Amino acid sequence: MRYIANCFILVFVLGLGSMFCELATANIPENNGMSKSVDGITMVLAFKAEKIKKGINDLEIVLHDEKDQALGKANVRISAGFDDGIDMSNMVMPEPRFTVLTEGNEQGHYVGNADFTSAGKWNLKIRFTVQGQEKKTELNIVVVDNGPNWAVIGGFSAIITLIIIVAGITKHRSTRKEVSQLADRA
Amino acid sequence: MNLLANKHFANFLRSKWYPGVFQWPIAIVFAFIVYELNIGPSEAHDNFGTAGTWVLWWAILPIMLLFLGRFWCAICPFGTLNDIIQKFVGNNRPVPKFLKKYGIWIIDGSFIMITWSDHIWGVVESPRGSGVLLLMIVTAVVLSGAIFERRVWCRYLCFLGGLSGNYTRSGMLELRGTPDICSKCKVNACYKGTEQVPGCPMFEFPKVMDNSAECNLCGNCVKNCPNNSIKISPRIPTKELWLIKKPRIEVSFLAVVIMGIVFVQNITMLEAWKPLLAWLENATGTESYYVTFTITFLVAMIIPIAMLALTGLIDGKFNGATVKENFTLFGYAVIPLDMAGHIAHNLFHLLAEGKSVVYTALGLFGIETHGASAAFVDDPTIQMLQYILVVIGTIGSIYVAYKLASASKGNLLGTSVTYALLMIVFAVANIFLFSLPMVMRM
Repeated sequence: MRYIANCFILVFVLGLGSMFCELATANIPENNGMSKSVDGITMVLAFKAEKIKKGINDLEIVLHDEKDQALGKANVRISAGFDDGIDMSNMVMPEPRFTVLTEGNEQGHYVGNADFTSAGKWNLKIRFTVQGQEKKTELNIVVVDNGPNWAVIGGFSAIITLIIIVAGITKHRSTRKEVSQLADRA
Repeated sequence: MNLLANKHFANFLRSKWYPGVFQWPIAIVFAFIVYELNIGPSEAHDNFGTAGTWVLWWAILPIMLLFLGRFWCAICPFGTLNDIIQKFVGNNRPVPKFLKKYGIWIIDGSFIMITWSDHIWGVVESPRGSGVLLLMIVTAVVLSGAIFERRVWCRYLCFLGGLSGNYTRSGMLELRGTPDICSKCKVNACYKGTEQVPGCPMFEFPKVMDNSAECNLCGNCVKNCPNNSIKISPRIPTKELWLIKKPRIEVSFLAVVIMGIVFVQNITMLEAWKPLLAWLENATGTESYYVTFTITFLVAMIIPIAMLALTGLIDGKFNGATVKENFTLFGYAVIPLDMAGHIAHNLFHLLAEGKSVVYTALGLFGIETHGASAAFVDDPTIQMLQYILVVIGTIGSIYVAYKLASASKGNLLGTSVTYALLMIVFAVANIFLFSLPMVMRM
């Protein structure tokens, strides 16, 4: 019986451990940088989350010049627009609202966030100033819906089912054993 | 006054419908909440599961504990699940010795860990995170119910068990056996159970029960007692704390840790939290939230622990007891202020965000309420209620410290004043934090 109880606990600990690891690593920043070069200046955009999800996403932009020197005080601004696939190149559009990023702890690093209100393709307009000159660039990104995590739900369901099955078998065995012992005594 | 003297109340408690009439509707709502959190909208402000769990249930839990003791534990869906699993596949193994000995420490540790992980991974703000937490608890309850007898989960493992036990000690309802009747009883059906009704699921024996910390008012002892010995009585809040016969350090430890946790909950909801975080990032040289929050969390918990220990050291001059003895005994005096601070903190969620429960419920039927205020009352009103609660809790704590000092040796005035000063310091810290503007959860 102790062996079975230990098996139960082992299954439980391993199962929960793996779930916990998944939960724990879900928000760890990943180096999912997208880079672009503008007039010799390299811009790398990285989101904090592994996947860019619907809602507010923390991001970081890193700027380096041609000599790979970090560029500080570049007044970096971003604007996010939903790409609904309609060609609006011939239409007069109002200037999008830009958010100014704040300088990070390291030289050339700029941090802030972007709010993606729906899943789908988005266009990020990025502006920054180097030696008095404004540089412009754009990046297309895909925002995913933060839907159900079927792997987690399935994992828990499997563990719970396993526990119930093992418990049922154990209970059945012990009941049979008790009945046979009673019969022997009788 | 014995509530069971009321025929209708007694009949209801003895009927087969109690506590099932509460358990099943709650279990159905809970199942839907788990579904919503894991599969429903991914944004907290749109998710009924988030609003139902963290704005409604979590906010009213300490209020229920004050008025009804651990009645919630009798109707808690996890307890119901434990009972179902046990009925069909339970192996009914006895409680391991280590759980009996260290269960409360496991509860203390898991409560601290869950609070910590909430901040690190944003469990409350993320429906998926909350969903995973509930699934983890469901799995643990299934495991516990499958292996062990009675409600081992509720008594020895539930992360809310320690908090619920502490607040219930300060609560307004108690269940006890009548000593004269119980002393002649040889049946002990309240503990052992009968063929019709199982014994106490919480391993309590009403015959010798001197505190309400583990009683969930499930009514099994009322149904089983052949001598009509059980009484359920209202009582003055905090009364149980006035005379603690066997103080336990783990109970006092949790009481003072909860004070720190309420501080952390308040600090991280303040608008001043971001500048403080930036300062910490500079001081530690890392932007890792794991590091900065863990430091804040540890400091917030260590400060009240150190203050209670220091007060115990000073009080040793008056009552001759050791720091550990004073810490263990007078930690119980912190409980009323704990509960008041907790209710005051949750009052913000309940009154400033309470309508989100209605809005998210309407959202289930496609009725959108974007832009509508979720508040029942304005912030100054909530703050005033918070201050009043903290003042009441402080008076309660000071009085408990006085009663505990009266029952122990030494200089009554010196001990009472020493602990009164400590409670006032805690109260001032609470009031200061409640006076600062807070950001909403939903």
